[in-house]
Amino acid sequence: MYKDLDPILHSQLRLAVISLLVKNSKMEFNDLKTETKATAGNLSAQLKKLEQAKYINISKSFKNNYPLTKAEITKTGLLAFEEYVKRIQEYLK
Amino acid sequence: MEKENLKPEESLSIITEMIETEKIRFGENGFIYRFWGWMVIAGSLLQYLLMYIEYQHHYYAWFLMILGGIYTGIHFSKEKNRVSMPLSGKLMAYTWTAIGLNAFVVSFLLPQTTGQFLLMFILAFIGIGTIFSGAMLRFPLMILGGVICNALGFVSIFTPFEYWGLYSIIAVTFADLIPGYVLKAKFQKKNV
Repeated sequence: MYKDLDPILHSQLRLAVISLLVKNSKMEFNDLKTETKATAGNLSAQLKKLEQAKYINISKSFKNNYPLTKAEITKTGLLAFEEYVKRIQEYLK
Repeated sequence: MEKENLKPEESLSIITEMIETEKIRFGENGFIYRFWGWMVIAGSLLQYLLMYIEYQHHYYAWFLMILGGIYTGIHFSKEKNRVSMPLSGKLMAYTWTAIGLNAFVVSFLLPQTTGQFLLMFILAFIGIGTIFSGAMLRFPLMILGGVICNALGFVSIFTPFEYWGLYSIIAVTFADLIPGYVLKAKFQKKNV
């Protein structure tokens, strides 16, 4: 059916993540997990897919001796999101 | 949350939900608004007390606000370490820092020149900041509080200095205390 919609974004969790990152640019893994109510495993898997598509950059560091993962939207991700929204609007017309 | 075959309506609803979801995250329990409301009331009452005992430098009461500023800085730097602040929070933090610094500078400069406009400027700064915060939080009650605060500033130009403390108390009651306690009630309801 909706075949010209970007398959990377046309998934519930990946779309939620990208929407949050469009608004906030960069977010910590735990905040993304809280906002999307996803499990850590599922979120990790979806972030990996978004990273492979170059829609986000993932950085890993340490804070107070705990690992800290952050995701940041890229220009490619932002353009893909804009295009996705445009297509969705066309479908809804 | 793993659905892959979304309808356009579902996609749009996910986007909207994610963008709306953080709307009352920055200061969502309203603590900082209640804190500043009570700080201003304490400053006003202290100044009245100093005036009552005929202490010449009664305006020293407002040095309390410097302590409030330091406390706010520490409070938010701790908060910042706990979670990454969303963009809306950053915008509000920058705006309120600029408002605080401007109010501080104006409090020293205006009494040397055109002192009768001092409260107007301070309440205009607070009013504009409150309207901005209310708009970011999509919280009409706070926007209304900001408008009342802003308007009281203009009224202050035409009223004697002795009433200014009262105006400040009324202004923060509408701009900070009422919205602060409503946010607290909403927060508690959400977390029951």
